[in-house]
Amino acid sequence: MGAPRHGGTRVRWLLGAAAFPALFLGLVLGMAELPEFGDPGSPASTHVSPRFIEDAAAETGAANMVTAVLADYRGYDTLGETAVIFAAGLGCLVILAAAGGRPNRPAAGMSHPFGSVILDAATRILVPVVLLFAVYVLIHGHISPGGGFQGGVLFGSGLIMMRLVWGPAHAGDGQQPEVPAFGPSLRGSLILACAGILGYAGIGLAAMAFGGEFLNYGTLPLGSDPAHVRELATLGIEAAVFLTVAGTVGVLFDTISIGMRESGVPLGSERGPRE
Amino acid sequence: MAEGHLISIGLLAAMVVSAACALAVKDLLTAAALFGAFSFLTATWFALLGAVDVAFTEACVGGALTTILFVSTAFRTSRRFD
Amino acid sequence: MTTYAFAAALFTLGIAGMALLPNLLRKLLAMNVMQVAVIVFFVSLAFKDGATVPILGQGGAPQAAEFMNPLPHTLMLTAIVVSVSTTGLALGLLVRIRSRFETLNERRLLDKLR
Repeated sequence: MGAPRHGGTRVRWLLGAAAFPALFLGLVLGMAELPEFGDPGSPASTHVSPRFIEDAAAETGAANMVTAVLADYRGYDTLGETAVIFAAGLGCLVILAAAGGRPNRPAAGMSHPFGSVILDAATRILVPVVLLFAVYVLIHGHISPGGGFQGGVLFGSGLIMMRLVWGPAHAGDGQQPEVPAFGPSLRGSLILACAGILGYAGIGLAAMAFGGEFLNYGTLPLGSDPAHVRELATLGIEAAVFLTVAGTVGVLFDTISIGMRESGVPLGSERGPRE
Repeated sequence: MAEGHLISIGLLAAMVVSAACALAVKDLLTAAALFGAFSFLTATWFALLGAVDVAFTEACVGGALTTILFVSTAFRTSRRFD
Repeated sequence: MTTYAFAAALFTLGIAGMALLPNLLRKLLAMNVMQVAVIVFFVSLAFKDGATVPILGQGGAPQAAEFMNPLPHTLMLTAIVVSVSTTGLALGLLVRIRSRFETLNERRLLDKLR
């Protein structure tokens, strides 16, 4: 814990530290009033969720109830969450890559390939598998654990793995990595994220154009069986979420690890980690 | 899985201990690695509770992404907590 | 009840770390621990004795008592992904603060701002 400097600070620090056991006791006392752990008759398990559990598969065609609730019943909520993720990526871009910025020299230790044969070979084998598995997770989100969020994070992680081992896609300063980096640039990641969030809203608006409410997919002209139509629309929503999350992950990693230069003043320490 | 099982108590205790260690160490890389361990323990606990989707997400996000972001911040700033 | 107590312990640990640790990066780690504590609490609320994972297998009409509550799972799934994006945004801010003030220590930052 932090080292206090002055006598007065020490007293205040101790008083503050003493407040936390009291907070813990208060939380535990409050939780004693909650229903028993695992009680099937608790209010949380008897009010809204039975409807989801009993009707989701018949109404939406998704065996995975979490996906059905995420992309269909609470699609409006998920649109907001996706927008928050996109906004966080944009915010990081604005903070670190201020207007008119040029790519900074990457921080020491991240600027060049590590050059290890084992790392290089392992990445060559692992990355295609990770990327393929990400798409598998997205497509099978209906019937198994997974969906757009997990698939997007996995896809972004696969791209980050290549950046970590082979150096950044655009190292700046004219230095090209020895192994040509694969994967979208910062601009490409941003376009992916934009395409995702716009596609999500577009599916919702298309439902409106065909006479339904916003994000009520039942009216889309994709077939005669409403459950099947909803299943297809849910897959579209998951794909949009996938694009947004994968793109945002790429933007976050690129801006934090590479950074930008703002009007001649290098952002971020040029020094490597202090040993 | 009943609540009092040794495995659930052990997992929860390991979660609290690894989180406390992640906050106590002075080195950012160690802290990030310990936070990754904390996330994987949490993911195991979620899987035990039957929340497979949440466990999957927590393993991807907490175990991989958050750790990577903290490590790249360590390279950009300073490895030591000052 | 022990589960809830452990979630409360994690929450207290996180909030104490946010308040007492002087380094902004460690405060961010503590904030993540606090978020995970809230997620653990919600997922614990979704657990039902004798129920299985909320994915429909083969068989007849599903009964509510047979499956875990999927609603908290959905909410927490999105919360986890949102938390990593906000963590990334916070890390971006910290990189800028560090490059401008050469420190991430709260007290030294306040001294420099004075």
